[in-house]
Amino acid sequence: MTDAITAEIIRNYLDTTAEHLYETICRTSPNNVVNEAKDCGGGIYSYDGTTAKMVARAGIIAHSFALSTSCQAGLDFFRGDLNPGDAILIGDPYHGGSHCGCWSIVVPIFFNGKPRLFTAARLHVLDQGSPTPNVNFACRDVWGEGTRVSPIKLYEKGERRREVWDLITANNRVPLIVEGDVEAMIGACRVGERFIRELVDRHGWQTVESSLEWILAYSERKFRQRIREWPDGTYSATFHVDTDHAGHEDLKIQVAITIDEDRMTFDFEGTDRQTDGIINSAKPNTIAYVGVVLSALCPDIPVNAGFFAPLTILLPEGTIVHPTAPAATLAGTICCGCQIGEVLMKACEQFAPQRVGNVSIDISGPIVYGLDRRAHRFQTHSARNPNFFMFMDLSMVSMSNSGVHGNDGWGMWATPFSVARPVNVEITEIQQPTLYRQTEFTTDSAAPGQWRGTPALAMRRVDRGASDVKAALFVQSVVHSLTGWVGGYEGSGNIIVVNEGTQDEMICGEHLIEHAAYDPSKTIFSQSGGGGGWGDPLDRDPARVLEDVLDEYISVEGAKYDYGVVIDTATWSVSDEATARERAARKAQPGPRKRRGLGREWLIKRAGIQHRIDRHDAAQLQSNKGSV
Amino acid sequence: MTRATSERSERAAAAMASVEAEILRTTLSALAEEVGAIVANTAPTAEISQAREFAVAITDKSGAVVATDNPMQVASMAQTVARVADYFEFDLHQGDVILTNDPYAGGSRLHDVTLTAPLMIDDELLLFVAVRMRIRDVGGQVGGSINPEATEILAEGHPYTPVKIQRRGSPVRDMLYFFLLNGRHMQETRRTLDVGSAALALGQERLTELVGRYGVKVVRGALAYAQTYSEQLARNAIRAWKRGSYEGEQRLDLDPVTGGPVTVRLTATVADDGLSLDFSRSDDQRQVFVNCPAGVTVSCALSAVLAMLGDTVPANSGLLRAIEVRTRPGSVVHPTQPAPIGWGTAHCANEVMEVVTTTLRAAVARPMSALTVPRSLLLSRPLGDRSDQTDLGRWGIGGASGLAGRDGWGPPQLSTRAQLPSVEQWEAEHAMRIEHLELAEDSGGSGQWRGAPGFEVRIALAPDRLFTVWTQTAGNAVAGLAGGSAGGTGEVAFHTREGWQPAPISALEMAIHADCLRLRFAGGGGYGNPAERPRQAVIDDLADGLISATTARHVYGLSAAEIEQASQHTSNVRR
Repeated sequence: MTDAITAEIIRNYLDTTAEHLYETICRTSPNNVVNEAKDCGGGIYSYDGTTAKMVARAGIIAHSFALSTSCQAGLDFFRGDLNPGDAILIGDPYHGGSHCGCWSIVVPIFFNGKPRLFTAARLHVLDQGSPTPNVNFACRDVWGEGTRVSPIKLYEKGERRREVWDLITANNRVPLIVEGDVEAMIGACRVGERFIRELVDRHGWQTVESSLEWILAYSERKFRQRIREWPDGTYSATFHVDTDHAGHEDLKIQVAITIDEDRMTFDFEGTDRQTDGIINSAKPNTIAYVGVVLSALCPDIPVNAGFFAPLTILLPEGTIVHPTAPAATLAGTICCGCQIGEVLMKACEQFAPQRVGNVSIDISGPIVYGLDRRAHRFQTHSARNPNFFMFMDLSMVSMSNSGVHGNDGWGMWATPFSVARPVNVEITEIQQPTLYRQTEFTTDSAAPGQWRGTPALAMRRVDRGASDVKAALFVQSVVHSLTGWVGGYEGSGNIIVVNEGTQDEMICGEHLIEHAAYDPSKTIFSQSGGGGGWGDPLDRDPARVLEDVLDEYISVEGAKYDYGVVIDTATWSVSDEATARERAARKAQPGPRKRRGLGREWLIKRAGIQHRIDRHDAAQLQSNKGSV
Repeated sequence: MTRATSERSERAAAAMASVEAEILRTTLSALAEEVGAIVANTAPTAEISQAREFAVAITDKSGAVVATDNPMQVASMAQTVARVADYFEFDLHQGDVILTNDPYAGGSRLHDVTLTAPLMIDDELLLFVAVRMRIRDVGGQVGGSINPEATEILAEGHPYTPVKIQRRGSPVRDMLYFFLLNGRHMQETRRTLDVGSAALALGQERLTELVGRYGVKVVRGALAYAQTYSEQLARNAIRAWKRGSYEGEQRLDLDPVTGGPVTVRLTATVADDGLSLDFSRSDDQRQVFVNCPAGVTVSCALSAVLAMLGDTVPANSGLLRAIEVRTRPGSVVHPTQPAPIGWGTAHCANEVMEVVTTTLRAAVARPMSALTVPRSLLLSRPLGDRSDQTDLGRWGIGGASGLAGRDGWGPPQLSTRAQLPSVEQWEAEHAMRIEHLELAEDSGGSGQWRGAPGFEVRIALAPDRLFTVWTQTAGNAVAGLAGGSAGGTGEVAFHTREGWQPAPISALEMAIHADCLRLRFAGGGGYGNPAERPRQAVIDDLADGLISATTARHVYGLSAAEIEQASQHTSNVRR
């Protein structure tokens, strides 16, 4: 094996290469979800003769983990028929992808006649050839998701396979964008290849190969050390998915994490069976979330396949965390992916409470489409129909970061995903026929905690310049909002309202809005709630509460209602005595405390989901009784 | 050699050449039939082997059809193969097989997939052999890839621009797998493709033998000759028609919800030795699945003309030189992406065929009756299996219209390629019973020559099934001609707790709690004045149960005694 210093240099070089790969996708894609929001991911994967292993990564971490499976699928499908100059496209969730909407590119890099390394990239395409534009909520099997991309070479031995590209674009509503996105990923992978070749030229393949061993072994060793630090035992948790939008509600995910010296087992036994709805999480996606959670617990350990060496992951087949074909996996990467992340962290809360927080994004793909009638347009999605536009507004789903031990929630998305960001308002208004009236945090919407979650973002816009528009919207984490941690309260939840304040108002919360026509001159409103709080809000430092009030994150009423802090509005200071009295009284109350903040209660009312909350509360009560 | 001798031997050579060309013309025709028989006999589905939903074509190197076993698909096959020839012009090799279903470039339905193979002799392209076969599913929202609620093609299934599934004799694994994966019946589709590939290989083998025997030059000449032959026959026949310009239209009544009626308009011009059919003034395409792909439009227009020309003209692309068909892209008979086309081969294809026959009635010696009956879509699947879609509409069998000199007999003239389905085989395959399958009394239109009746079918339904239906045209009747009356209308009804209920006009995977389905397609129209029908023929009709006693008396004027005579005959037969 090589020496540690050379290996570390090589490890950092590969990390930088992965960053270059990621940035190249972002800077060459024509799709603003990629070039503005940076919602994509990539990595470098080694091949040891049987298995592809992640060595370095950049971008959206869930994509990077899942790309290991894509590389493996490419290897397994083409074994013996891989060549320099190949670029493989993979999408199908049962053939190495996570769902039909995320397309992966895998490029083999040859040394001495064998593909020793792969560069790979993934992003969610703007249209996946589905029966309805961008997304098909009515899909009830994987064919209804869209084009099932089994491993297929887009370039073979350096030659562009024209017929494959023409087929893919013939099955797509935004062929210019999709072709651009895929070429961006291929270009990025080739940039990665160039850097890797320079590395091998400098050090020689032998040295690089043994450095790869060192890199993976290092992470494995550090992670095993960390596992040893955690107390042995079995830690269980459950969490629920609001609905699969096919008639099933409150679907359960259950996990038991067992720590045994330097080994961890994740057992999802007890999870609900797969449904014909849209929330099944394909196996590679579920496993990716295990990686996401662990890497968040161990931010000092380099993220690579070494993480997975001490792990045993048990996924019962035929469940929503390991569906079998032909179950639909349409939303799986984010729903129930988000809930998988939450249930895992909830179990971890029991052995590493000061390290937990929200690692899941509760996003969806809120999209409107139609015709862009503006005199000046700056983007063409389809040469077939130059006025056609598709607009996915990520500001509607932008908040999910939670409080953590020692820090209030910051930024927008949960940390592992925060390499991405919502699209800049000004650029959006240029590229899409829309005008924002409001994008700002709202008061009392941050989940209360000793350290609070991020506030919710309220957005109002008018789709000025658009005509013949339809909305395809769904939100998640409405009924079961982003969980609180170690006594912190849950996030306020999400809602979208179309034609706000008028007779034709449509609410997207408990139910989705399925390709419905709306009036582009009327307001669309959304609120994206942040992640949960960490720790009991009654323990939050009153000085911080006062700061929050002065910053308008919390109202004076909210300070008292959520935090038990009484503010003297004459002097704008904390009334210490009144606060102490209030807090003592609340803590002394018998029975379980209601862990819902003001903002959460507002959303429950606006979304009209009180009946769902009541039902779930009752169910919890029952199961608590049963377990006593 | 003297000049006379060389002229004589030139003439002899020319005569020999034309004999050879004629032999080859008929050989190629027979070969297309032979390959077709192979497809029918080896295919794994009743849709291909019994309903014969396939077409075999031998084309020249530009894609023009030289011989086919399915005259009704000449133009669409030609368009498809032409597209393939153009797309891969500089990338064709012996052993290549190209797959496409693109309805915007010659295709008909998404699940009619065409396999094309070039025949190269000494590395030069001589001709193509092509096989189009129906497969069960190409993805989309609904199993079976027909979706009455589709507003665009991607809701129906996946269009395939030309792609190679075999290259120089070796399968293109990743492309083939991709195609199979994007349909709900991988195994069955794979076997169907194997049948197609085998058929192509057989065709190529035979053609290579022909080249070996006659030489490339002669065979190439025969490809051209066969087309000229049909062209000339068509021109000769059209020369006898009345010159002039004729206009007509056919309307398809659609619900206001889907945009109201859509009209196919035709301006037919009979010139000195040719015919022009201009559909350009037809309505724009719609966001509903009744758009008729351009290739199908031309195919249907040709089929109608062929019916008027009688049995004598072999169907190939030569016809298209004598009969020019013009369509406007973006219209309901020449849809462009992303217009849905799932039911286009029924409606508006029927409208295309009927507008040709009605518009040209004034031009031809013997006016042609209706060639089609209205068709309803009727699919059903069990609750638990989205892939297992059964086509109940297969039991919709309408009646042929009467012609001058001939009663209508059997299914409509242009629907006779399919064999009637076998009840026993169907029942065994689908676990549902056919309770009743009879010719529907009084369904054939009255006339000197009566229309044929449609079938009345009652199917006992298994419980817990979902239905996908489109019955917009079910209640339409087929008009009579020259004094004949219209045939009986069709009907699609479900027997529910509330009794017999008409099927919805349009439904997608709807739960209908019924124990029985009653299905009847329209009867053919009658031709000529019923009063002139020979009395014995009417008595026979009555005795055979084709008409009721009421019709016999009130429409045909039979006396009570004659009616008694007929019923005697019936009871005799019964004993």
